[in-house]
Amino acid sequence: MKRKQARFTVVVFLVLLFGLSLANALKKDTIFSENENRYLAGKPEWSVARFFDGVFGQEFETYLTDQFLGRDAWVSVKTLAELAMGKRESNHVFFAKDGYLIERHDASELASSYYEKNCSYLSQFIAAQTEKLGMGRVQVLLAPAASQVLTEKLPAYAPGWASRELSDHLRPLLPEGTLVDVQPVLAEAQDSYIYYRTDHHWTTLGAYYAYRVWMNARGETPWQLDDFQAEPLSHTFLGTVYSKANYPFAEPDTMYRYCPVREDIRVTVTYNQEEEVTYSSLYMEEYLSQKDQYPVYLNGNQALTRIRTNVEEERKLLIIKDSYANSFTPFAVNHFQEVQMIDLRYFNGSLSAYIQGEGITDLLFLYGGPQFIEDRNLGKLLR
Amino acid sequence: MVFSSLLFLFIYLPVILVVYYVAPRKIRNLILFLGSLVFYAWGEPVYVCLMLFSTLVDFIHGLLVERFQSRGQTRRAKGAVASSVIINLGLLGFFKYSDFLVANVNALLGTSIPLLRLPLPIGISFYTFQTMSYTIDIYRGEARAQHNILDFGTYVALFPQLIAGPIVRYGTAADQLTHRRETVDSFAGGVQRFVVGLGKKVLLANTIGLVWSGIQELPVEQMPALTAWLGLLAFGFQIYFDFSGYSDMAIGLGNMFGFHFHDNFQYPYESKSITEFWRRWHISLGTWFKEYVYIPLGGNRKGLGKQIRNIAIVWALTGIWHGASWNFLLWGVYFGILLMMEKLFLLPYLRKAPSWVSHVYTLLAVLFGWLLFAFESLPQGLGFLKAMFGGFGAGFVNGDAVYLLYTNATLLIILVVGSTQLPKRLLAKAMELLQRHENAAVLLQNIGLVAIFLISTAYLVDATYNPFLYFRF
Repeated sequence: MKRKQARFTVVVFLVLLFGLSLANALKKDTIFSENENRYLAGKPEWSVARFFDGVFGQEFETYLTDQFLGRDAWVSVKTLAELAMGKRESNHVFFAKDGYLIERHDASELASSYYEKNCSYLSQFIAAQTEKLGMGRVQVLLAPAASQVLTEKLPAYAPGWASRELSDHLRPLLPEGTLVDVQPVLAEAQDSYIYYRTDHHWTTLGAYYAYRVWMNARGETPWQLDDFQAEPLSHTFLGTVYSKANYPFAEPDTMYRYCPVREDIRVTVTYNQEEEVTYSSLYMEEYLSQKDQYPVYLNGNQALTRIRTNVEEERKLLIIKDSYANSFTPFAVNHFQEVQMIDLRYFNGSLSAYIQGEGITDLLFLYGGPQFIEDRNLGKLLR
Repeated sequence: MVFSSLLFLFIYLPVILVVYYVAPRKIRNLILFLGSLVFYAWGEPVYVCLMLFSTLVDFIHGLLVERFQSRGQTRRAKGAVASSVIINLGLLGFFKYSDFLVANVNALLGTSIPLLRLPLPIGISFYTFQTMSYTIDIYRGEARAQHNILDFGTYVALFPQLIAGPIVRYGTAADQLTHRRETVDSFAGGVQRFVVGLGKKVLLANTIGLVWSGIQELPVEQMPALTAWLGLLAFGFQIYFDFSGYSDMAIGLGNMFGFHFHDNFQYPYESKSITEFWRRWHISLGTWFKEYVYIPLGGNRKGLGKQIRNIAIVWALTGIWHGASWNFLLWGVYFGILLMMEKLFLLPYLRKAPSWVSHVYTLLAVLFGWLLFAFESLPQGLGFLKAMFGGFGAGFVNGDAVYLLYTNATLLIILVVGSTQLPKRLLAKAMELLQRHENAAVLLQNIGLVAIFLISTAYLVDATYNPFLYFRF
């Protein structure tokens, strides 16, 4: 190599190496990553003991990775490089048609050690409650993941398990007619905007279709779509799947609320039995200015949510739920004098005593299917 | 510490470069030595003492061998060499093989001697081999004893090759320890080598490694043949790009500090016989076993019977060197048998056959070898082999296999091409074409290096997956 050329290579490398190193050394730590929705690792605590058992070293490397200058941009570069290499996914997220980012759900999830346990907890709980509340009063609805519904948008031959595998397994463990299978109806509607492009949840429209199947299963008449007016809440929603894939060119989602137009439904919402603070809306619009906008629906995940309405049906619905219910519940609210939601991740106490004490008349268990399989709190159903 | 980490790239490397080049020549070995201790202690704060102990022992033994030799006390000199070898192999045996031994004794005699469960000191298989070469080389008169413990310590601990080789024989390094000259040319060559190695490890090995670990998680009974073949290919590419990438980084870093180490890999997947493969794969290890085991045992000079025996010994040892487990021994024996067969009758046929035939033979033989290497449990390996031939009735292909194939097609093509000398030739050709536009050629080359470096950094920042295969050795 000629001397001049060698010098050029050395200079380029050193500028790059020292430039990045210095910039990183001078950069202030970021405490919270809005994009990843988590606290980033801080400088680890130094002690001789922590050094010698290797903890300090590991934590320091995590710290460097988390705090690296322009972290999000680097991660995007990686995603783009992978796409350029012909990959159709990144970090377990498929790059699907029509700008959809769809979470991948491998069949190995069905091997989760919680799967059988959760089915058994649910089966015992539902049997006992059906006996108390009566047939037709208790339903189980497991929301399929986007990958199990939007099958035509997925890359060709994309792997994953079908929601049928879960429902076929669970159906015989529950009283007849209890399991509400919404997948066929959603799959039928897969050309509509029923799942977010950048989030793992169904959209409000998707939740509406599920609501309709549920009402029919209860032998009641659901409201029609034109009984509502769809009002956009936000046009800038980038959800969890976006954060996972970190694809810089993702198109933000629109979040809607469906407002009843035929009847004047009024609500009073309280959270976690703090009766002195009440809200007159199901939507918490202050969240729309945050990175994570999803809690706009019913304040996100609260241990206990109580919604009183002016509906003159003297019955009380309890929804035991994860976040899939947050956009679903506003449809249910129109049919009950009171709707309560319990999130078992945060609720501690005896569920059956609570149901009895509150005079609950109707029950819905609503979880995302893949979330149900791996949930670690369903033992609380039997408390 | 590993090279392919943000810690190494953006803290350790810049600091050691500055300190090293700012320091006067006289203390540069001291800086490399201390820097290497920090490098090692980061991952092994306790075992660094073990390495220092090994260094001290061999330093003293080297002096003893030299003294006995100079007085003509050959028998004592031999004794000192033996003592050094015993101590080194003792360390290696204790830390690497004792649990393997205990477990087998327990299984055989029905005893229940408790396992020690010692974590393997990083790089012990490499540095004990290096230091053994030192005393042996002095005994043979191929090197002179080092009288400066600092220079010797620098040789043993030198961070570029400390934890995963190449195994630098003392003879190669002796002169460079005291008389090396750092030049811009060698630094620039080092930069190129290092960045290419980084890309091989981070962009290629880690990425194809994910494919392999994904396939490994699938239940083997339902695995179609195509998936199984893809899996084994993925492992073969992972191990090559991982290890050769690491060697490139080591050699490149050595160049940056004025050292010149021999190549450790020379496009082994281009080989047309197993004999050739092992001359091009992990060259420094093969050379070591040849120099210090095979030839001392008589090599091929004492008749065919002895030669076969010697091959058997060397390859059993090579196998078990790769890990304290039966599958590695089996892997070594497998290659030993292939090599014997080639020596006895196969080689002439391989030379006469069309080159694609001998190439396919070699690749298949290596690939099935990786099956032994990848699965510690023999039943698991056999299960995977069965899946490769559709033995479970899962057919040849399913949707998942098609998905795996087409989403990794580009990567596989890059890996295939990257295993050959084609990129090197193309680059040379391109440079020739651009001869008249020298600056453009240089610019293009550097843009390429910068791109590899930056994209590798991006992959490291998003490092959910950055395993390093060679910590086990």
